[in-house]
Amino acid sequence: MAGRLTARYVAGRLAQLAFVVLGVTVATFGLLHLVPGNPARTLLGVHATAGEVAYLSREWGLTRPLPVQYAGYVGRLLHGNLGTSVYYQAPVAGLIGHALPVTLAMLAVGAVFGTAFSVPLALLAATRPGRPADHLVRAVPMAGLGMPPFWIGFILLLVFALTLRVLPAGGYGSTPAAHLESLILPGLTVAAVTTPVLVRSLRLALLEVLGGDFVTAATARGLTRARVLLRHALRNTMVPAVSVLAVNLGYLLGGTVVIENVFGLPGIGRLLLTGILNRDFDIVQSVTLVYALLVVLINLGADLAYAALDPRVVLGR
Amino acid sequence: MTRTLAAGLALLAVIAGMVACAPLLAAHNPGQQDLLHVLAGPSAAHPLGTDDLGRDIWARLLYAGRADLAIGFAAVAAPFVIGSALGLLAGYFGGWPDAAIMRVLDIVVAFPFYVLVIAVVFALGAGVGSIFIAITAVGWVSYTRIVRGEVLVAKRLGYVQAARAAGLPAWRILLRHLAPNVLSQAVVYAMSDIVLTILAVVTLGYLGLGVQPPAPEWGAMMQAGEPYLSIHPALATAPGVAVVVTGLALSMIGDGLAAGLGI
Amino acid sequence: MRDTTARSAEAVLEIRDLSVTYGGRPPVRAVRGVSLRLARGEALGLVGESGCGKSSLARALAGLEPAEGQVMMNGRPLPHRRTREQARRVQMVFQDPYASLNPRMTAVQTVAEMLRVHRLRPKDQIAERARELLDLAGLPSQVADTRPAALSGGQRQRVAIARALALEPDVLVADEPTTALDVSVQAVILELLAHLRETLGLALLLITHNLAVVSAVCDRAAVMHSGEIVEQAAVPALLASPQHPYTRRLLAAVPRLGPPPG
Ligand SMILES: Nc1ncnc2c1ncn2[C@@H]1O[C@H](COP(=O)(O)OP(=O)(O)OP(=O)(O)O)[C@@H](O)[C@H]1O
Ligand SMILES: [Mg+2]
Repeated sequence: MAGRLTARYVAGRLAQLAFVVLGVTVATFGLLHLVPGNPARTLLGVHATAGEVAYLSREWGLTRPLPVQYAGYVGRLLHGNLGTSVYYQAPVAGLIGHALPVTLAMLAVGAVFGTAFSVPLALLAATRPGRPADHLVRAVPMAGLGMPPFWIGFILLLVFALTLRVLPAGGYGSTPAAHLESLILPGLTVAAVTTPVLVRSLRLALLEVLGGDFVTAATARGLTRARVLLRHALRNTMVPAVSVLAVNLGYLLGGTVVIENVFGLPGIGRLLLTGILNRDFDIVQSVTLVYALLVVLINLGADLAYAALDPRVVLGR
Repeated sequence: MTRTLAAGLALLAVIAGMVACAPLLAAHNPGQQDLLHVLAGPSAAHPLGTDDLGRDIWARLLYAGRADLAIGFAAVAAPFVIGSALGLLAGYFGGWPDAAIMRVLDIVVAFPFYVLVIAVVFALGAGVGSIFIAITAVGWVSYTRIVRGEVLVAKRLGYVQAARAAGLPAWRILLRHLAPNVLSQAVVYAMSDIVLTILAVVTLGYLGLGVQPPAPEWGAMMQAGEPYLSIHPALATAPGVAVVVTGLALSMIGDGLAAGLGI
Repeated sequence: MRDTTARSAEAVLEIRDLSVTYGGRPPVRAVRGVSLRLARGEALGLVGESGCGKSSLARALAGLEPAEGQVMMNGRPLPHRRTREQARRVQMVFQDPYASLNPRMTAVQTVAEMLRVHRLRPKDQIAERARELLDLAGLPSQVADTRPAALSGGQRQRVAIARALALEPDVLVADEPTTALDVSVQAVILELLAHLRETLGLALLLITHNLAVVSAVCDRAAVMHSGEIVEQAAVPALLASPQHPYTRRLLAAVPRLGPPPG
């Protein structure tokens, strides 16, 4: 397990991370100034009085030079202050704290379903290249990528919740069992969004691995074909598959915003959208920031894992 | 030309033809309300029935397609041009221009696509202009990555080296020698990007951030139909099917192009 | 054309203590303090094994790679960053004819672009001059308006040579111009280069790892090894009595090559 995971690599990667995080805060800070009009009015919402707006402008120094304001913003973030929701009259950090686990749980359920769909499909296609089954599986990404995520949610909702009435149509329930039940349809939707991307890369990687020497060698050693497929080929395919997921993470994660909205799941995506509906600026700004941090951290994890698991170690015997 | 490409082009031609001929194919004005016949089922007068305001769904579907296709195609242009130009500059010059462009790119890709688009549209205010700006601000990165990678390979080739040795100005090398040879990948990507962009336009419409009602738009129609999903599903599913078929046509074109170029 | 009568014995190109270093971990010193002289109209062969730095030296001469040391052209320094006029003094022909032409431009367009950018002919004479140059390089006129994809390797190399000649350079650097070509075409292209050198008074730096090529085309040869010139001499002398052990090994690798007759 030596790999490329040297102290130098980790240090370089962390430096890059620090830079990106800094840039991300510049972008979320800039969001306030992108909004036309008085930033204080933006922060307080449309119902605030002129006096309140003037007070906030003074209090937050919204008339000071931008770099000074930015420094203040970063200072607030470092103290864990993500702003205050005008609508809920509550600290945004707390709201996100409640919502984030829901989003993560939905992603986890989605990942489980996604793997359960993609792996058999990819195996089916890669072991029969050029045959009808292969063509059919290759059509999956094409069809799947042409659908908006919320549309898939609609269909599932229509079939399982409204017609068959076997699953809840929305909300999150109040017990762990109810939570899990409410996560099935959103999880399936997440899986439907990830599967096209996963199947495409898994199939290509499997084809490459199946053509490689060591599969032939393993078969020659008398291992059954099924065993070779599962133990060797598939294992070696997970690394490229995971990195493809990491690369597409931004797109996939973005899709979850709308999915939460379709199912009324109280995650950070839903929080973002209610923030937008209520013109609740601090929520929009901080949820955007949290999403970016999520992407950055997951990518860091994937990179470090990739470096640690030197592909050759896995690709070996 | 592969069969996939041909089929995709044919499908897109049919869709484009239908939305272009909307006034001929629809008997009703998409905005014309008929409050006595709301949520009606299919009939001779209304092939797909009417919506909650008694408007003809078929007519709205066709006119909405105009908006979605036009915005989708137009919104890809700016990211394509800006992203490719930055990719050319970063790849060709290397050094600090490359470093600067790529660091900004790192920051943009840290945001999930929809989150950043939604946040920017929120900040600028809902509407078509904001959609263009948001999609440009987020969408250029893919083109920059693709083109930069191609340039890094192409600039070592003899024809670029010969142009440099001859003292040709950098802009000429970039425009006459590199651009025509490295942009094909970006063009292929643009096809799949149009799909993503139309989906984004539809999604923004669904969230109420896109084309503003009463103007017909597929996403907005789906949002309006959502409450009636259990009693009158056609309201939401008709535009949904339109989106899916359009997405499929464009995906097939993108796939076929990629296969044709051996990518 | 250029005045080729004057100063024919003087060095047209002189490089002193030239070094090329590629950044990276660790940095590669591909060329280490090389000094060479090239007289007007002279053909100098540069030989050495793969990776010894021949191409790096050539690229530095053509201004494609930053280098330490000095390059003097007609007694004046030729910097790495060159004006358009300075740039055309040294032109190159590359090894791979399949990558050395812009796939989107016809042979005439490729040559004409050089004439146009350098304003070497009035606008209305550019196309005619381009065809003349292609003809000089032996490209059949029927294919002058085709794109590279339709040309053979040898034909492409002729276009590349015409492109280089268009700028009326003082020095032509040919980096293994025949290595990628079919054996039957190699000799023809070498003859073309030798012929152009004589008729145009070009100084030719011919890079190769083939001593037979050197003996056929060049007056003098320099032997490169690990980034350094280890020996240079007139070709007959070099072949007859190689001084450096590395040159001897190189000669021993080509048993058929004796001292040239006469
Ligand atoms: N762009 C580059 N970056 C880093 N190292 C390089 C680069 N180009 C060449 N090198 C290294 O410099 C050394 C000399 O390379 P060069 O291409 O000049 O050799 P050469 O004599 O032309 O070889 P060949 O006969 O194979 O063409 C080699 O070790 C090579 O790996
Ligand atoms: Mg070389």
